[in-house]
Amino acid sequence: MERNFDLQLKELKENIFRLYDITNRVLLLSEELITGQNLLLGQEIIFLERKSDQLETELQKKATTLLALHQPVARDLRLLLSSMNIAHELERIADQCLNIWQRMEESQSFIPFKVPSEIYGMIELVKQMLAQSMESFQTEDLEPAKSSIRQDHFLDDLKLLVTNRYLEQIKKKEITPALGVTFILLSRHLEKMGDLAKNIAEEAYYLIKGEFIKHLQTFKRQE
Amino acid sequence: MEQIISFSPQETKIQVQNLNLYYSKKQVLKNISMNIPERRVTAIIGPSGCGKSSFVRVLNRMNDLIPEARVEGRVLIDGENIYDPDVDVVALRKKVGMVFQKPNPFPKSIFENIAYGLRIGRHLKEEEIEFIVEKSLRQAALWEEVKDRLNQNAMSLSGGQQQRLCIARALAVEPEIILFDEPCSAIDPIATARIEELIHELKKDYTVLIVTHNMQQAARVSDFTAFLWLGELIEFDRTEKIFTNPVNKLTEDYITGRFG
Repeated sequence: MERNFDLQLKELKENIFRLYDITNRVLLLSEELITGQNLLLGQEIIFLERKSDQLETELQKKATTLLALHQPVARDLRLLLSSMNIAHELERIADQCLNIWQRMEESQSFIPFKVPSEIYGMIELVKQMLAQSMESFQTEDLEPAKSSIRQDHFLDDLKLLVTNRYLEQIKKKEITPALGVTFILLSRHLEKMGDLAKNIAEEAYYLIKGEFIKHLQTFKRQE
Repeated sequence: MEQIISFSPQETKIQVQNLNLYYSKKQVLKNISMNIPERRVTAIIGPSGCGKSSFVRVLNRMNDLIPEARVEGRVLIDGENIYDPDVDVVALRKKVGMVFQKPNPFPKSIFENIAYGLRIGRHLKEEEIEFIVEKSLRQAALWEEVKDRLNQNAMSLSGGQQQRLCIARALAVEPEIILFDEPCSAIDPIATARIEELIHELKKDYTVLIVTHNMQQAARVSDFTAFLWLGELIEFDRTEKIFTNPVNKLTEDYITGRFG
């Protein structure tokens, strides 16, 4: 017979994946927003971002109750702690998507504009990293998490590249400052999302191995 | 056995080497080897019948009182094998005190409960006895509650107070090791908290072993935890490691309540 506590943990994990589903939908909408530059998508982004806030709050409350009532240890404790942290990171990714919509809205007078190819590359990387991190959390296979962590530096590099290029272009007056800044900010939001996806991978690693690898640069960049 | 922490000789108070214990033909402890560190709290956990209480009773030869009990292997305290034939068992039990599951005060006054042991085999003056009684009651965090009624019968104390009195009685004969065999299973949560606080204080001066069924208690009070299962030592490690990331699946399943 499955323990009542196991059933509640299972339910908690299922709700994390509900939150992931919402975050993923907002992420895809942000991609569509950048590609198609249709600001009307903002309504759905706002709606889903609020939904992610609510679900995260519910998850945190539920996890706190489980901690207080069951005082879990070992794997159960790690699952609860990592779930709480992952829920928080997923909600923050949704926040970043909302920020992207705000940047696009601020730049509506320039629409349509050509988006730098690096931004598309960054979106692809974020999607991949997030999927890999959540796969590790789901399957408890370490490899996708490791891969997600390893990829983070590409996003840092791309952000730097975009920032440097558009600062230079603004300086040389080759681009309107407002649009240049929009690109820089978009790259910053995407780089932040990558950090959050990496955090999720580190939480999955903690769940599986019981080791904290945050800030340790465990999986260094492969040159 | 997958994970057994070890200590340097300087840190070690008790060395258990290839210990087997039999009650008649039934083997209750199986080839246990572990070093128990000095001035630390070591918790012994495991399901009912796994040999926890039998194990701590080996450490002050309480099992000698059971006719069919037989011990193999060595138990060294400060490097001396307590199972050597010439060991003075009374002296050993002074050195290794024990507090049991149910408080068992003598049906005497609070004062006499502690003074009684001091009068056996020692020629102490009355003022020396009074000094030790007060000191022991203070160490057991009971003095303030009983100092004005030392002549009252100990049976009039609450369960938690009786248990602290038993701890004071154990401390009075100046042991070096204190064995607690489920000391809080018969007392309420507030009294339990006081005993746990006391155990925390005691480790400054004593080596403490505690048998407990209460996982949270083991996690709260101990520095190291040993998990026994069917008489075998399965895992022995730092308590924080055992309760966050145990190596052995049996340990994990037991502490998370999946069996036992």
